[in-house]
Amino acid sequence: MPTSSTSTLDRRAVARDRLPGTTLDTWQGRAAEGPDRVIWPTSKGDVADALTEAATAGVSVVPWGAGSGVVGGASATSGQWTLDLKRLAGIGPLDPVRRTVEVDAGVNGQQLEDWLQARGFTLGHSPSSIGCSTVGGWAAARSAGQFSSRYGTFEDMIVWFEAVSPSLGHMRVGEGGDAPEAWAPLMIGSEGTLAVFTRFALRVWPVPEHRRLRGWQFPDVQSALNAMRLLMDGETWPAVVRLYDPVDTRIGGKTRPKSDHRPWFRDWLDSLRSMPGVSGRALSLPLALPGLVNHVFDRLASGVLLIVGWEGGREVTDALADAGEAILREGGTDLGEEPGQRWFASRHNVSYKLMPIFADGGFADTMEVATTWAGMEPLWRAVRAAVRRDVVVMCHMSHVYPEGGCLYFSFAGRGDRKVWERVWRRALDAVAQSGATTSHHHGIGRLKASSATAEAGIAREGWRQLKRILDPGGLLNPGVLDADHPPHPPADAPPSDAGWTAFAPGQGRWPWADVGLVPPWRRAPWMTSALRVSGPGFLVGRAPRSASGPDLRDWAANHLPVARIEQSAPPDGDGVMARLAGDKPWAIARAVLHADFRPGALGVDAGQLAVGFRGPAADALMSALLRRFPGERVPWRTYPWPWRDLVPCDDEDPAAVTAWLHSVGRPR
Amino acid sequence: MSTPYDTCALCPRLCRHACPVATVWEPGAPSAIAEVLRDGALGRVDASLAQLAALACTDCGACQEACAIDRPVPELLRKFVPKVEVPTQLPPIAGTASEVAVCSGDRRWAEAFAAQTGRAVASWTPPANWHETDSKTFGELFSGRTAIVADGEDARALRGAGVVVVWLGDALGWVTEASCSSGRPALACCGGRGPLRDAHPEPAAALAQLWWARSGGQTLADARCRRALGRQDVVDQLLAGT
Repeated sequence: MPTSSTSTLDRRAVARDRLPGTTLDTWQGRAAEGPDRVIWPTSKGDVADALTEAATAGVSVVPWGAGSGVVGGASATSGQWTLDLKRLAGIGPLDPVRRTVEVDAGVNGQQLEDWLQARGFTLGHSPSSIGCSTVGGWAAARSAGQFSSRYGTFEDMIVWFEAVSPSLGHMRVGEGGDAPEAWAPLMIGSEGTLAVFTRFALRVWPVPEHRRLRGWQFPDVQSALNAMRLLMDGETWPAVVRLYDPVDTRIGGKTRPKSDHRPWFRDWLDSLRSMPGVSGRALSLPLALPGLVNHVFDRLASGVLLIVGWEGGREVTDALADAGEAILREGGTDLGEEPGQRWFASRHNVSYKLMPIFADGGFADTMEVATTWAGMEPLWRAVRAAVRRDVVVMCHMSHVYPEGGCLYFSFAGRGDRKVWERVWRRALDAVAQSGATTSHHHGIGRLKASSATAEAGIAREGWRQLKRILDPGGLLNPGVLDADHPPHPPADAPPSDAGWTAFAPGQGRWPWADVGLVPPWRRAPWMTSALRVSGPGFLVGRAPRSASGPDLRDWAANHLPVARIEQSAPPDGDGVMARLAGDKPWAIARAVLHADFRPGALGVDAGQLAVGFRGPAADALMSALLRRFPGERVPWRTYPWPWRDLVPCDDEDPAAVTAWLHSVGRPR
Repeated sequence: MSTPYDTCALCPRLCRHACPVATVWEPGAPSAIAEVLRDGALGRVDASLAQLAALACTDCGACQEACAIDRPVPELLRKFVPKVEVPTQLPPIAGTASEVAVCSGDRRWAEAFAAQTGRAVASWTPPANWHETDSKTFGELFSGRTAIVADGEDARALRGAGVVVVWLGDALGWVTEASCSSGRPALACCGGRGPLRDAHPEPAAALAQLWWARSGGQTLADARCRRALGRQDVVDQLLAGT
């Protein structure tokens, strides 16, 4: 049994995550006492021992990283033990050729990033919680960072992971794994309900040598959304795309870096104080009259701020940014570099500045949901209308994909937990009625379990089946994710592998059996990710990311009786292609990818590598490519993506070829 | 009713990654300490629990740099600490030796230095306010000795008293790997973050890297835990992995 403690101080420290409802409770004198015991494993063997002992003791186990979650997924109470994983703290080795790093689950995110940057690499994962979250927590919640449109969300970064489950013990999933790879999308995002993550291999990137970041003003939300969509349709691969709604433009968009020693909150107060009827009043007034404040802000609103940035190798970055900025100039006004630099300098601070609202007797919270491009503006209006009487509400839109993006609402209001719960209920109802997805990157926890369960419908059976295999006794994190799942299923519940025969190792039907071998990062541009399931009559994964923790879309596609994938035609007619000289096409292909090019088409033609680009940056990218690699332009031709052909390639070190494979699999 | 700890206690903790203790011990996060202090101030928890929480802070100041709302976190926590321990006089130097381990002056390190160097190394743990004490006192106390120190403030004070100073980072180079790799995520090094970084960045960086490497990649707890005698128990607690 690893080291553990039952001291009050230790138990209190892991009693709650940062769900604002429990912060409100704590503020009002109802602090949680926490679990019965805190355990600090230092190895995967320790994790297994702790799970065994917990099963014997008849208590459930809550995995704990750093407790930065905001959906109640890591809170623990009497009758539970908390497994604090921060002593799984090893970083390395780093493989600069394969561009991967191994890291233990308990490593603090910022410390991993510091470690990588000291060696010339970056993970590219930059959630605002990076200073108070762990790698294991990122996987548990399917985290997304502020540069996700270039580097992907966290599930895109995982090459393999190791975990310990109550029934199967230690397992490895992904490259070289001994467990079905098809389990990966169900385990990542499972919020500690299926297994305890212990170690990862993650993709890394060279520290970008060049960054272009600017602010743009658009007349309204919809016109800015149109520009954002065109950026993604055009395969310009921006790293940062953040649109602030009119209220957030006036408040959050003016956030200053910490060095100014002036929290945005003060700006907000100043803005409020400058309004007719609010002048000279304290914070309590605007929070007590949210309807009025929302109305005043609406009347004052004039334009929206869009921050867009590219980063990476200089040549490619400039080619993409030139094309992207031309799109933005069509409907927007260039505000220059200052807004982008200001955002960059304060990008991790904003979320931490809400506490003065609690100190003034109010509460603040955030809600991240996602939907398709067509649904974003209506969803923004619907949520605002639903909660505007109770809270001051603002929104920014980021984490964009070819199909749509995330809307991130911030609320501030006055009242007790009942008011807070009412706001959430109304907001989530509006989300459901709009056909959007309940959650994007904060996770589900206990807060959104009901809405996510309703949204996932019968697809949640995918998670349940794996739960029966990995944790038949219901030991892990009961009450999280699935609202209908018994918090404490009987310990003698029989394990079942029904329905999982298709997921035997090597037989997984990943990624999309019906549409061929399309690597994950390439499927998005020409395929919406919604699955329409007839019969039950619901959608699963209505937005760019699945709604409920685990990504249930693949499971649904493979298991539900009638499912189809909405598919749109790939863009064509604007492609340019070249054939690169050299008799080792895959070695060249790897060099092309390592040079930051993201071809829209790739194939081997008469023993030579063919590379194609599409969209408004295609010509510039091709010119840049041909300056680096000798070759000649050829007519566009669509090649089947050479997913399988890479494996038997013998003109390369096998490990390097595998690494290249993963490079191809890089996200969006 | 409000307390000085309100906003700090309820924050999402941007300070967390900066705090050398919090990295391995959750109750050591400044906001976790502040939460217990807040409840103590409101009479919701026993005062002894609040005192215990306050002892987790090593007073390295890193949280101040990280705080997103510019709260004087170290000052807030420090205010509570004197109620727990009020040093009254300079403690004696333990043992007779020409070299003295200061700050890292617990017996384990002093013995390790001595074993590796073949020289006599004594230990000395300063009280919390020793920088404010008449430097002549230190001159007398350290007369004829060399001090091995980690911290810029300590070094400045000792040098002001005419004491010959060796950086802990340099001194650690004398120590065998086995003697300082406990295998436990225990001691932390604030050398790369605290005042030493500003005053003497090179030794600070070397110290941080050395401790990092020696810990096998673990972040270590702060050498300045030993600044106040009353915090030795916290260090011992971390060393014991509890």
